[in-house]
Amino acid sequence: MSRVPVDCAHCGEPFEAPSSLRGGFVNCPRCQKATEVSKGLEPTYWLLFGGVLVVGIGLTTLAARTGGPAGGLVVGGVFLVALLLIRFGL
Amino acid sequence: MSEPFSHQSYLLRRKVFTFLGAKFHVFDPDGEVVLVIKQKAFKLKEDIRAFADEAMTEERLVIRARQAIDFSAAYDVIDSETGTKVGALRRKGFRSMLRDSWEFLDEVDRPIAKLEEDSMLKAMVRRFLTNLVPQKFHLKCGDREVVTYRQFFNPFVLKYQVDVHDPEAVEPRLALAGAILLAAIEGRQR
Repeated sequence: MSRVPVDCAHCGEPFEAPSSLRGGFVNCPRCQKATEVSKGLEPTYWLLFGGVLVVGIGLTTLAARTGGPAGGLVVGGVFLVALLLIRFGL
Repeated sequence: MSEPFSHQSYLLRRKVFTFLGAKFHVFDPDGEVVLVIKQKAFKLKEDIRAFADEAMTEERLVIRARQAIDFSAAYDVIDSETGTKVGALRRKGFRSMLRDSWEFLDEVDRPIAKLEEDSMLKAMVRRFLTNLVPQKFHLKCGDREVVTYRQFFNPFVLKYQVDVHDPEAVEPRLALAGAILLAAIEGRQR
């Protein structure tokens, strides 16, 4: 089972918790208080990312067929920026 | 373990008239209120709070879902007094479609007990014919029954009798959290 890093919200102790506890709570091994485990990326995030990726590939192909390589590059570039923004900017 | 959770049996009762959300009371064998539970309406992520009395000033338990949308949802149970996690309960999504089924977990998600509706036949009758047949649940550690949850026959008021047979096997706060979730989550589907 993979593990996720956690910093105790009460005493600051860094430790690791099972990844199944994402979004939930775990007791800190030092102070024994329940501290929240980061939930990581939500399913809604992956839906958004996947949706933009599928639409991007479709529109880029369409633009390349109708507007030539330049059209494809422009549309593809726009979607690439959008995907990078979703992945690293949100 | 604090005094309110040292009893062998409890009665959980849903309040009939509430404006928004739901309210439950847990009584000890003498009829004294042990917990007053408030379930807020329109919460994306289930967050149930249990208090010591009607004034709702002294919080005793927090039951919180890990994810907003989760078919096999897991709920962490935290003792507000000590600030420690007691354990967790995970609903078995697919199995529960036919027969309500939950898993009781310790603080680090290791399974400690299984909760199941009494029989597949009765579960089917309740789902497809009539929900007037009262539910009964068995919480088992291996083959040993440690807690029994029994619904009273009452079409208007949801009531569960909770009998703790072995408080050493399953933490009583977790056993009560099970009753609360049965009433708040499974009860909502009816």
